[in-house]
Amino acid sequence: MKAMMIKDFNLLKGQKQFFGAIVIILILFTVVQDNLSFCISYVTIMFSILTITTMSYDDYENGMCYLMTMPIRRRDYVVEKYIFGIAASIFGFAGASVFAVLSSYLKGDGFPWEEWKGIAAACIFLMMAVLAVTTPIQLKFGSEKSRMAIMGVYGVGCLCVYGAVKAAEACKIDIDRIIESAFVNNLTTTIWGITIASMMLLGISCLISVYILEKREF
Amino acid sequence: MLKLENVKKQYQGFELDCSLEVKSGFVTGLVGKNGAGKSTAFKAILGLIHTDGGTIQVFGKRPEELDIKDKEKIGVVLADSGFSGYLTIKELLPVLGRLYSGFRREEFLRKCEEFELPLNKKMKEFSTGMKRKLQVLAAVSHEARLLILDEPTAGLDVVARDELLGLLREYMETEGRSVLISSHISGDLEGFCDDIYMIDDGKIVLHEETDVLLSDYALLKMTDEQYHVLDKSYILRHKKEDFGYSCLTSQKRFYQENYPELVIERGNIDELIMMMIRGEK
Repeated sequence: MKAMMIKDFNLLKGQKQFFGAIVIILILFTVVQDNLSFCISYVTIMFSILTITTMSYDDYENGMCYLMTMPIRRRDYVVEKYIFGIAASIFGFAGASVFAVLSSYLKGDGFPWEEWKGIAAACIFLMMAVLAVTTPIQLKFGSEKSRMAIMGVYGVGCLCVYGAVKAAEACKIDIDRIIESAFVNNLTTTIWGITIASMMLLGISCLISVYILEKREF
Repeated sequence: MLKLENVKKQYQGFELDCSLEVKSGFVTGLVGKNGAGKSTAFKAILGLIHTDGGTIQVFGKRPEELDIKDKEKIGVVLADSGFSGYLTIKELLPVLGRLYSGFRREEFLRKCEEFELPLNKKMKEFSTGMKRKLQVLAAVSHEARLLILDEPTAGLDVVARDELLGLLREYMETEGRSVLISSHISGDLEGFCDDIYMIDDGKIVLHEETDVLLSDYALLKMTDEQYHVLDKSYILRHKKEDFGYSCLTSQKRFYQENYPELVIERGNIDELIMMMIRGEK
């Protein structure tokens, strides 16, 4: 697994333009726009998809086929991708947060720690959701076909959320109050809830991914 | 070392039904035209595809039973796949070092220099030949006991091919090692393999020791009249030609002694493939 981790970090060395773009966006939205939540969640999500990038690189010119002849268990390959994805996302989240804190104090505004906790909860969920959904799809369909499949899944996800909001409105359920209650009044409980739910989602996704790769033919 | 018994794999319009054996200390060749089933057989051995029947044994185990230590003992070159093109050789070194406990880094680097492989260039910018050289170098650089090489010389010029085959001969100098190799360049196999399997349409149509193949097999060329009176006991395949008939035999001496008037040509592997595939039984 360590060999795969080294490989993935080496693969990311070629992503200089990607990291450059991230830094520019970070500066724009933190310093100029002062949009803390967008900036941190954007960077976290972008870092969480890095694991998909490494999988695309592994797949390049049918490279996965050769990779699977090497002394690597398919299960370990999958687990490494999840660990790499979580590590990259945490790194992105932490980096963006540090940048935002420094920027806030340099501007003399002070850092809104309560708001940051809410952003952290949302980021944990987003990062886990991205990893949990895209990894098995990427493994199942490969880098070319998976784009359409991922777009389809996220499209269906958005429709489901939209449908749920509309249904709640029809049933006269005040969603804003629920969100406020979760993210303002019970933030610590919400963060723990989201973390546990996300870990469970990720665990299920990992099991599905292992199954997909074990069954996959090259 | 490696044994396939009636290994079956069904695809639309193609069925592999293959039996072959690679003995310890042997270099075994697998020849056949494109699409004959060579790569499918290699992938089945490596556990890259699921088979529909038969048994495969690598070091006495089924491919799915091979553990990390077993896989370390296998060196692989695949015709249509290789290292990620987004890595450089320099970046690959720690990966190979971690994957293979027997990886000989210094020797690998020395060979890279000898084969003029740049260490800091992304592999996607390598030519086909350079990619092949790198894969072969990686395969022989970690004390593997078995090499599975699918078209390792494809895309190489004569000099590079010779260098690479030299490397493989060097590899075979250590006892207890084996190689299964496929190539469409018959000269490579004639000079390197101990025995050769010929595969056509997914089935093994011939297995013979290379020495026997080159000494006892021959192409007989004759007129229609000569063909009709010929004893066909040792004729494997025949083919109608403008001048009469071409026949493939596995008993060259019999025809030399009994039919001195026939034109008898020492068969090379290319001609053998052609006759085995296009000739009639």
